[in-house]
Amino acid sequence: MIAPPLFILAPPRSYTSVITAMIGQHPQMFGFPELNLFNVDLLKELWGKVSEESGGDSNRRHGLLRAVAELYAGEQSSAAITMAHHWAAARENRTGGEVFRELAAKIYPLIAVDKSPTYTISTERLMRILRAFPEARFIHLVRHPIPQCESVLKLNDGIFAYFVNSFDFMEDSVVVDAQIAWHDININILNFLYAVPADRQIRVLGEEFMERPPENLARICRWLGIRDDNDAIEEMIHPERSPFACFGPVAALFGNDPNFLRSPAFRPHKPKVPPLTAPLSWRNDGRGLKPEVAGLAREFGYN
Amino acid sequence: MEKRESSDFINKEFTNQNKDVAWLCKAIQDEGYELGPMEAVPNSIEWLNELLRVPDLFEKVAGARSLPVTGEIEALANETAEARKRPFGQSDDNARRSLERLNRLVLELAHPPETPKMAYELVAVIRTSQGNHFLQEYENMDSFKRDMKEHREYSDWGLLVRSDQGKVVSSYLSSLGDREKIGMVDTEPMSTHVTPEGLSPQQSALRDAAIRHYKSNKAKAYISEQMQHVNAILQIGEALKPLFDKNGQPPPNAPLEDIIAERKKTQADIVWLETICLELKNVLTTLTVIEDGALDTLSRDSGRD
Repeated sequence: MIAPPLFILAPPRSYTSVITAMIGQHPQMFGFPELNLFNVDLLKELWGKVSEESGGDSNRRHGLLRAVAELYAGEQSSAAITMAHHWAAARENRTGGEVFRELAAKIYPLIAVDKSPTYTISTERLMRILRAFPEARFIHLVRHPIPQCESVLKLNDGIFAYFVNSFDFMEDSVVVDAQIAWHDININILNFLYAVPADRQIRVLGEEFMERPPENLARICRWLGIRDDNDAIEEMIHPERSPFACFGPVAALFGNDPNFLRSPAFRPHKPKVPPLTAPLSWRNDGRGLKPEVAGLAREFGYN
Repeated sequence: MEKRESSDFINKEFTNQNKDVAWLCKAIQDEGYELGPMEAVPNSIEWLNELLRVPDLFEKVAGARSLPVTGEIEALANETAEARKRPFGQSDDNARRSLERLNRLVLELAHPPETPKMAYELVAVIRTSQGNHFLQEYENMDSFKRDMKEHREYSDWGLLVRSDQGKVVSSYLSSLGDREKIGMVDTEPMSTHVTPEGLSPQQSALRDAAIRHYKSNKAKAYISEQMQHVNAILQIGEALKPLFDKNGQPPPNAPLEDIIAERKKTQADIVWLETICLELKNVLTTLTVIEDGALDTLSRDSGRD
C-alpha cells in the first residue's frame, strides 16, 4: 500500500532542493533525494550512459543509493551504499515506476516527495510518472528566468544548458543561452499538466515562497490534505534535519544540489526579482529575454 | 518511389536540390584525390556510389582538405577505424553501412555546393481514437506536428520515425498540451552520432564547436586538479614538517590553529585516498567477474573439444 506521491516539477535551480526538503520534513511526508527513476524505462538503464556529448550521468544514481541505504540499512555508510548497489542489481529489470512504488510502500503511511529536475526535460519522462501513478500530485515550481538562468550557467560551467541543447543560433555564431531551456522546460511541464486533473496540481512561485514560507507551506499542506498546524509548519522550516541534507559517503556523495548539501538550513529572505527587460549578464550582444520567454514569465506573474 | 541501399546517392536528391551528378563528379576529380582504380563509368551516379565504398576515402578527403569534422563524422570515423584498413567487401554489414554513411557525410562536408544533402523519409505511426493504427509519410517535422494538432480529436498518439536511422524524432500525444517550444534541438540528447533535426550543417557545426569548447575547458580543469593530486604525497610530507623539529619532536609552542588546520587537511587527504582505493576495488571486482566469465567459457570450450 502506498500514499499518492507528490512530485515537484521545475527546471533546475528553481529552489527545488530547499522547498522539496522542507515539504519532506512534514510529519506526514518523506522527502527523497533526487531519485531520477523516471528518466529511464528499466532500472538498469540508470547505470548506462545518458549522453555521449556532455556527460552528466556520474551522480544521478547517488540519490537512489542513499535513499535505499537510509531506508533498508538505517544509515548512509559506505557499506550501506554497497548494499544499495546489490538491492538495485536485484531489481535491474524492473521499471522506474515499480522501484518507486516499492520505496513508497516502505515509507507508508508517509507520502513520498521527489523532485528530480531532469524529469522535466522531456514529456516522455513526465508521462512515465503519470502512467505509474495516475493518482500522483504535482507542484509546478517556477522562478524568474533571469536569476534562474544565471544560476544554471554558474553551476559546473553551465553543463545543464549544454546537456539540454539550450543554444541560440545566430548567423555565424552560437550562444549558450539558458533562457531557451527555461522556456522549453516550463512548456514541457505545462503541456504535461494539461493531462493532469486540475485538483492534483498547483503552481508555486519560488520567490513568493522564499519570502513567506509559513503561508505558502500551509497552503501546500491544505491542498495535500495534511496537517497545517504550527508544529507541522515548524518542522518544515528545518530542511537541514532531513537525513539527505548533507553529503553522503564517498561512494554516493550527492543526490541533490551540492550548494544545498553544503548549506541546507533555510534562511527566509526576499529574493531580488529583476524586471523582465533587464540586460542579460550571460550575453555580450546586449540582447534581452526573447519575447516568448518574457511572455511566459508574465503569464506566471512576473513583470 | 525511388529506393536506395544505405547512404547511396539517388537521382531524386540531385533534382530536388538543384544539383547535378556531373558537377559533383568534376568537383571531386578536380581535387585530385588518389582514389585508385574505379570500375563504374566516370561522371555517373554509379561512380559516386562506388566512391562511397572506398575504405579510406575519409583520410583522402578530410586529410587533404583539413576539414573541421562534425560530431557525427568524428563518431563514425572512430567506429570505422578498423574497417577503413581493409577492403570494403571484407567488413560486416554494420561496418559497411557506417563506412558508406561516413563517406557520404565527408563528401557533403568537403563539397557542399555540389553535394546534395542525404534525403530520408519521415514516416509516422499514428493511432486513431478508434484504436486503429496506420502509417503516414511527412515532408518534415513541422508538417507532422501541424497535422497531429489539426486532427487531435481523431488521433490518440503519433510517432514520427526517421527512416535512415530508425529513430523516433518527434512524438505527439493528444492528451498533452500543445504549446510550442522555442529550442531548435530536442531536449533529450542521447547521442552525438545524430545530427539534431532541423539544424543546418553550419548550425550543427557551431553546436559541435560549442560542445568541444566546453569539453576542452573541463579537460584542462581536470588535468590541473589531477596534477595537485599527483603531488599529494609530497604535500602531506611537506605539510607535516612545521609540526616537528629536526629531532622529530613537536615544538613546545606549536600554535593550536596550525595543529587543527593540519588535522583537517590530513582528514581530507585520507578521504581522498580512501576514495581512490574504493574506485580501484570496484574496478578490480569488475575485472574479476570478466576474467571468471572468460575462464568459464574457455573451460567449457576445451571440454567440448
